[in-house]
Amino acid sequence: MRMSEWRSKQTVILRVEEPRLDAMNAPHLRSTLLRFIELGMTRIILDLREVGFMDSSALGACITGAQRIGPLGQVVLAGARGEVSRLFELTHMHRVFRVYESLADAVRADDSLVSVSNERLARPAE
Amino acid sequence: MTAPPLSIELTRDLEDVRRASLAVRRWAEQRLEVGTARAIQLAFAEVATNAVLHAPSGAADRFSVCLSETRAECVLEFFDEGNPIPETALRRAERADRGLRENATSVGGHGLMLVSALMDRVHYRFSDGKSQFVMAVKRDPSGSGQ
Repeated sequence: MRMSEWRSKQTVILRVEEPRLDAMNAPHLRSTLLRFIELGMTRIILDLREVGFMDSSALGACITGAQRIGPLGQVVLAGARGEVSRLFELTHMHRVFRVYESLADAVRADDSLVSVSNERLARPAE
Repeated sequence: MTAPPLSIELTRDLEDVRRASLAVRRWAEQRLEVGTARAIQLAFAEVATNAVLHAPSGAADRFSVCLSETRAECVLEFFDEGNPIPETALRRAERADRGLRENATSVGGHGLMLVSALMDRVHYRFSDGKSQFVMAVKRDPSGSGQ
């Protein structure tokens, strides 16, 4: 599964570079989220701008991450569009995650990341 | 005028589900507006993934899907000899709107409720070890997507 990451203090931005998040790659997404939580990350921003299709297996992986990170941390979903955004609405994911229209919006909401340049956010380092 | 149905036979392999999912999407996008076509694709993926992940040992190694259309609707039918869908999951899916709201924080169990929420008509039958799962969406009478 192709994914790039960018870290700052206890926040990690994970950009999913796959057109589909489904039962085939949901286990990898889940293990990646859990690995960063084990490393002490308390805010994980999933940048979903490249994802055009997502099913309930992938949703379950994200929810596992949100449950594991606990009330003192956050898994944030950013950049969902089209049917992925509709999936979040249908499943009431705003109750589980903070959902932002774009990565820039998600970052603006995080004080620890305000100094990060827009250029860097547009192209997270691998 | 309606086109001939599309039949797909799948092995119990998630890679096969992915390939078939794209075929389902292409078929649906020729007949329906994009949002409805994607809803059919998602419903297909949810049921097919369940058929792969929850097949009992010794189940037939293949299951099949048929897509067809009438003047009023597009129909997606699954035929499988795997495990029956548990009664509790079917009951939960009947109340999909409420179930999805109340189960937002659950790791699993969204699949069938999503199918129910996305489709206009859902019918499931299990008899003599065989499952038939029928899902349908209404067609736009204006002919959008064709």
